[in-house]
Amino acid sequence: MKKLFITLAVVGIAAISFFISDYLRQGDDHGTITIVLVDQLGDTISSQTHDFEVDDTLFDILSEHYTIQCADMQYQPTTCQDSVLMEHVILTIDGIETDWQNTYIAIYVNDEYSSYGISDIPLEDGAVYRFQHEVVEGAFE
Amino acid sequence: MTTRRLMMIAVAIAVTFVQEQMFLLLPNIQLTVLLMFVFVSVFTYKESLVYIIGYVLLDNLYMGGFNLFYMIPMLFAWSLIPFAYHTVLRRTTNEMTLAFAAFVFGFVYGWSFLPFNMIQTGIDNMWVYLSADIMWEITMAVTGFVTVNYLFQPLRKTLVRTLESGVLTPAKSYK
Repeated sequence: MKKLFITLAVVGIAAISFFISDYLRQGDDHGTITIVLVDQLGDTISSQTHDFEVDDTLFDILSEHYTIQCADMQYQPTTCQDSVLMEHVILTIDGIETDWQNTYIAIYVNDEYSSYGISDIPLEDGAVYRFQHEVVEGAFE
Repeated sequence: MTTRRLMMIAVAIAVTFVQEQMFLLLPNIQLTVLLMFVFVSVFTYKESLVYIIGYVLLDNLYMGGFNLFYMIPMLFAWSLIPFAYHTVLRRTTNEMTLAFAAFVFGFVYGWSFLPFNMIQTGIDNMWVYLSADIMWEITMAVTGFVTVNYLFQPLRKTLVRTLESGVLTPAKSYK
């Protein structure tokens, strides 16, 4: 019985932590954002503004306005509909193509490197989301 | 090291690797920490290190890349399990003690990637990484705690019984 109580306490604390973390990551309900695409040469290939409403996510806006390709469980290219990962990993956006092993798409929010993935980034009115082609340090190319 | 022990290590690597692939759909929810503790509890320290090196190499071979920024922290973090088991944990088989060790390991595993990720991504503020990674660390910690707490003893007993029986498959006897 003691074992069960300790287990439930640990699981309970973890569940509360999840709810608090999710609550703190709330964005705005509606507004306008700018999405910038930067290729491997460092050139800006696109800069567009998009409106968003309640329940919209950054991924929704990307998939609606851009041609994107996601990764499957083995980080191989697939359509985002076929992607079976719980959270999306984007390999290609329009002209930016990456392979995950040697290159990846870094996301910058207002020029700061985003510590969250595409599925977890909150939308903020007036924010600039920059998707930039990056080379993985230490990868065997 | 006898051929029999080498085969046991090979089987342990295969079991650990296959279950990891099975649970790939659920990020950080795996039986890897549990299996590490189970196998380390029956292996010697040297055998445990061979098991971990084999597992890390296979994992990186299959998942691709052989990226040193992942391989080195992986190798370091997983090696902490046999090190802790043979030192601070004093080879205990108490599941509650090991469950708490597995809980702590969930965080240590995440932190071991911190300096490598900071170099790789160029983030010079470690709090950014820690805040983003904390939920995954909690997930791994809780999964390790629950699985070790409930499954360590049954799995270890089965493994010890198999090792003591002298055969890896049950022999059919005719009377």
